[in-house]
Amino acid sequence: MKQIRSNIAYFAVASAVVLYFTYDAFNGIAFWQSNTVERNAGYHGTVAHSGYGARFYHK
Amino acid sequence: MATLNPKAFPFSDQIICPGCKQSITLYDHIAAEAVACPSCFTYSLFSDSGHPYVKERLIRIANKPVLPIGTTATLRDIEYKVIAYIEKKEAAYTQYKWREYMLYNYAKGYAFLAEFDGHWTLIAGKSFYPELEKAKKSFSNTALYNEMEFNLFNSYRPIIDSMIGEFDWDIRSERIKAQEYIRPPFLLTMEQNLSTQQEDWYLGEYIEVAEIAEAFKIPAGNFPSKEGIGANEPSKHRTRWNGALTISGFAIIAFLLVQLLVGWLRPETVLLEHTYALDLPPKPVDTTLKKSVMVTGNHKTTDSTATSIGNILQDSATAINSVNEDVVGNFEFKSFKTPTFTIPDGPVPLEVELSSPLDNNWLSTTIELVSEKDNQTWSLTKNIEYYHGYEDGENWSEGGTHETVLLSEIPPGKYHINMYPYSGTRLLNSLDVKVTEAVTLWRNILVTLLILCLYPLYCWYRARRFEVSRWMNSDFSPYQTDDDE
Repeated sequence: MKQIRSNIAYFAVASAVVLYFTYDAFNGIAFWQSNTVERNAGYHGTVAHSGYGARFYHK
Repeated sequence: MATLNPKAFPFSDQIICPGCKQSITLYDHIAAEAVACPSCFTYSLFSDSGHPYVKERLIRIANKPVLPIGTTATLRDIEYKVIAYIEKKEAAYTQYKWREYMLYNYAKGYAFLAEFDGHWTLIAGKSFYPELEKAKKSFSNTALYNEMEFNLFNSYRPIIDSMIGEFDWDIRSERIKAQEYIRPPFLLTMEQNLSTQQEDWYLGEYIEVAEIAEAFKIPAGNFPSKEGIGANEPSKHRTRWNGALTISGFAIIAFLLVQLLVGWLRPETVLLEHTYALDLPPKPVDTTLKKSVMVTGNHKTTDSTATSIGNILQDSATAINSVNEDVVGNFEFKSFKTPTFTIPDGPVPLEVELSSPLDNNWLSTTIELVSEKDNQTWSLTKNIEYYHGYEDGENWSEGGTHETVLLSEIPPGKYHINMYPYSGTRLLNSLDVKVTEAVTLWRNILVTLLILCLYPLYCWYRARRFEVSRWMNSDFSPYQTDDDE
């Protein structure tokens, strides 16, 4: 019984991982992308925010 | 041999112990050939006329039996009666002691419940498992039973310390050599009678205390507590590993299928591929040069003025060479803009590949992806550097002439890229730029696979640790390395 509960819990976690990265795949979201500064439309010299899109960044 | 009857246990009978004159109850008195008195521990045999006579006096049993003689229980759908209790030890390593309860079933004969360090095994012979007739030793410390391979765990000679109850043979006269093979939760035991060389095989299965306690209606707290890992104790970690492996396997297959689907729906497409010439911007007007020419034109030349003129000309030459060079010696090339390209569907990941024929130098460029719809920009700086040489008899190289940039979640629309290159050399003449949309996100795939493998790997590690601990009690451990020996 304990083993079945453990399997169900892990099945839920594994499904969540697959769904999470499936969402990323369909939305072109890279887990890592190059270190980017994004400026929004109508940029007037101020960095709006950095790190758009990806989960993590690297150089 | 035990009295076999298809319906019920035979009536019990009582005898008087020839040692202490106390009454002893026999539960299979027709078959009984020996009896150990629970009061005075006298071991008696039965004569042909059925009267007991003293053979020897045993030492007092060290532990009170958890399962009292004469109690009955239905264990795994078979009804048993406890008819004897034996305390044994290994001849070679006398510190290894265990206890056996002899169980009698009226239809099948004898079985045993063996307890070592609080771990219990229900053991029976051919009358319970007819396939044991075909059990045999195999190569390299293994045995085969019912097409299952068992691994040799222990080889020893058991000695009886003390006992109480009845037996259908003279148990004290037999000399046994035993080999135990395991395949948890099963235990395959080969007993060889050293007098007759006859081999008998027995099959055991690990049984939890709770199951025995429930069957015999004895509180579980009365049973000895578990110590260490039983020889044939099933590994819950292995069961967990099997479950995790199956789930992760299906999850990985599902995820890879999704990746294939995404790759099919949005194939990698090259949007732009071009080689750009790197030019230095036009030279600025040099006021220092003009001033020096004015000096030489308006004055007579003397030795001191000649030296001054020489210095000025040298400075001028340096100034000419350092056109477009900043204070730290870097050259800034003319910025350029790529043609417009269109991302038809999105959002998508965008990859920009840069390559330049560098030779012991570097190139750095600011890349600015600009949406022509609303001027939204993604800006970053990327370095390419390539150095190589020959040192201490060996060729070496560092870096490369090729770099990639990955931009995430770029919406559909028209774009161009602005490039602002600069380098440590003015001799660089070209920069290749390639823009690809919907590239395969290998890092996403690798990260997903890694995450999905973490729990099975953890379970495998725990299962392995469990097995290593189990086999530490064996002289035949497959985990023993040369270093351990």
